[in-house]
Amino acid sequence: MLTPARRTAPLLPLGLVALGLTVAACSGGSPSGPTSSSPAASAPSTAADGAGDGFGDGYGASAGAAEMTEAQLRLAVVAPDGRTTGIDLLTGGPLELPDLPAPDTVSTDGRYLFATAPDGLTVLDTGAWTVPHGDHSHYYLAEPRLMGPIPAGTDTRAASAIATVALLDPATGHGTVLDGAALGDGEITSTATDVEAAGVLVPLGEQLIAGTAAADAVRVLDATGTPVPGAEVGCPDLAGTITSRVGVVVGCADGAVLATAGATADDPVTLDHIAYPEPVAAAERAREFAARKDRPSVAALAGERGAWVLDTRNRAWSLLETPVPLLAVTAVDDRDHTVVAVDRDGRILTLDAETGAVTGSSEPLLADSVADPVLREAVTIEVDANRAYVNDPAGRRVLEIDHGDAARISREFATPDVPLFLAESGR
Amino acid sequence: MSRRLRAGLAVLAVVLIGLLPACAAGGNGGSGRPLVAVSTNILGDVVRAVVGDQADVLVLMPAGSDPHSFEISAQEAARVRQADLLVANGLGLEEGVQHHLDAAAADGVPQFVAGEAIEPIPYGTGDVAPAGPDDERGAPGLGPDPHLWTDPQRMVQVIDALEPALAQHVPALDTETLASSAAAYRQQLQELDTELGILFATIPPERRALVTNHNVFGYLAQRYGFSVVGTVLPGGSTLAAPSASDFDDLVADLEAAGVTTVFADAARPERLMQVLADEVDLDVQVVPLHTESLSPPGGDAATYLQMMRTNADRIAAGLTR
Repeated sequence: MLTPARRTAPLLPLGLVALGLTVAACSGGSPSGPTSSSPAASAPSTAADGAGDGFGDGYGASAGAAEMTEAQLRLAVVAPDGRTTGIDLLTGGPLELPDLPAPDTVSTDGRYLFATAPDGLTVLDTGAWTVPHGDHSHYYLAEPRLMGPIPAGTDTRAASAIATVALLDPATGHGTVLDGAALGDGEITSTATDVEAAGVLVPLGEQLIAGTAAADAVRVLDATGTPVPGAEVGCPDLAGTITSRVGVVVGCADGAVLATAGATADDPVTLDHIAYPEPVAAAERAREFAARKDRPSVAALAGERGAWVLDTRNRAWSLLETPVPLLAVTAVDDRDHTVVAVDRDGRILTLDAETGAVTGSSEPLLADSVADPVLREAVTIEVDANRAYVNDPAGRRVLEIDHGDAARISREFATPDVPLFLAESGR
Repeated sequence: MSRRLRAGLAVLAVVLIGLLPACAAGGNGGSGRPLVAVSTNILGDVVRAVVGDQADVLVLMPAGSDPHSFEISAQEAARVRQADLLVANGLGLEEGVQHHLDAAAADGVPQFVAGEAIEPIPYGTGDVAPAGPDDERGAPGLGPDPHLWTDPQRMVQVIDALEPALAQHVPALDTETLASSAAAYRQQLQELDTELGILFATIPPERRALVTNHNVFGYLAQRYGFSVVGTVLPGGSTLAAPSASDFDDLVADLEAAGVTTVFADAARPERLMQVLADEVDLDVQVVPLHTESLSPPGGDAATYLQMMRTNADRIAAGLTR
């Protein structure tokens, strides 16, 4: 049912500056030709980019993608050896996805999975994504495909916006910027290499948000990786980043820096420091953020105390203290200010970020995973507008949680392998 | 698609222009007649009705596609740049092909923009309620509402401005014939307006509410006294294993509007209706309307006039059930 990618991606060793030029030669002719994608779940309303000689519109459509009437939500479940299985959340049925090399980390931007392994970074295009557009959204479906591996450091992290994907190898402090539109067509094309950054390198419009070499400040780089003069603000011991609806968040020892783009691409990026309401111990500061895509509020663990929620629109932190420490947390940011968490007893919780109240709690369904020091670290929460998904590696299953209904378990998906990594796409 | 590739295709397009003798001067489509290029298929139908067989009409947007994101081929892009007149909707509707429209304008192709012939209303304001916390409908900055065709009177204004533009920029047109076909179409628009007014009068005023997940009916609402309530429909992953709380927002929107019909393109309308009956004991109808495109020939919205009548029938039926 799945056809392999017809185009071999030109690979880019990250260290070589000259390669940017090599691949900049016009690839000529048709972008990647019409792919006959035959979506089974629901009828495509429009072939967004069916014609091989069609003009791209910078709109999130990729060659061969079909536009669909609703979000094509799916889960990618990755086993320790990289074996990858998909779950179609519309039907509950399995989806075939290409396997990854055994990964150390897996992250997603809602379309691509970025998997790091000793031999580099592999990108899995899950073939499903959403592009928000004013009062409505566009939903796309295409054939999944694998790109890479791109030689990169083991700890390389990817941060993605529609037009740009930034990779950073923290070991070398060097980053690479990939053309997001080319990636959508199955090509790995760098637009900047050897970008100096520490801790974080994240695209914001056509610019980049980066940590300075000493990791004590956040600064703005232009598309080529050159620092924009004067655009820098202090951020001691910076760690962790997420892109919210409002802008790019970078965690600091004393709060966070929020980078927001101007109204047009030429306007300067604004850097705001958002301090914690009071000094916070190093063990209790936010270091990793998680949230529903495209919402203003983001969440992070607060050590043993519970969770932080940062409202990037109102530029305010709130601390949700929980009776049992949390293992994972993410913000839904719906009308009920819902936050979804897994606690150290293995319960799935919903909390109200405004009142701090626990609004729902499951049985300790993840107790076995939580008891295992390795599997515990693997527990991940993915969240969309209506549901959350939690992997239970010990139970070889993924749980679907109705976060609007007191953490009701709405569905349970058995997985053939240990679901060590979980990513939701089509969002 | 990369900018590089786009540039490459643009070069290709230029080469093609050079190679095609039919595309030389005069801007005709090879028929000897003048050429009017039109971005959307809705306006394309209207322009065809007005120019009749006096000119070739090249409609760029395929039937059943999305005016925001449809694409055109290099050949079409080249033909647009040879047109005598380019008719666009404007107000931000054709963003996907705007660069082609701009390129044609830069080449000296005169443009008629329908949105400039009417008084636009702001998008998502007025009677439009916010669609819940999930989107920012009604947020400032969405600009003017581009969906002007949903009001026949505004289309009359478009014809009033289009006729002189055609006469000015397409001199090959016989102005008397043009005037009589424009007058005839204006008459049809007036009849449509009257008919819709009579039909909508059958709906009790307190039920003139369009609960919809895709608000393109702002102008229609203004013309005929409807309110528009934006809503969000639960999707496939929710409908797989729902509970009543999944429908809180939709039920609240319907209750506030006092209606039991949602006008929406749902991927699985039957499933949605079944689940609403099961979970919240509500008999809700989910009715699709034609929003931004004509249907292919033979469909029930193959022309602008037919699209308007089909939608009006469905609205009236949905709100008087």
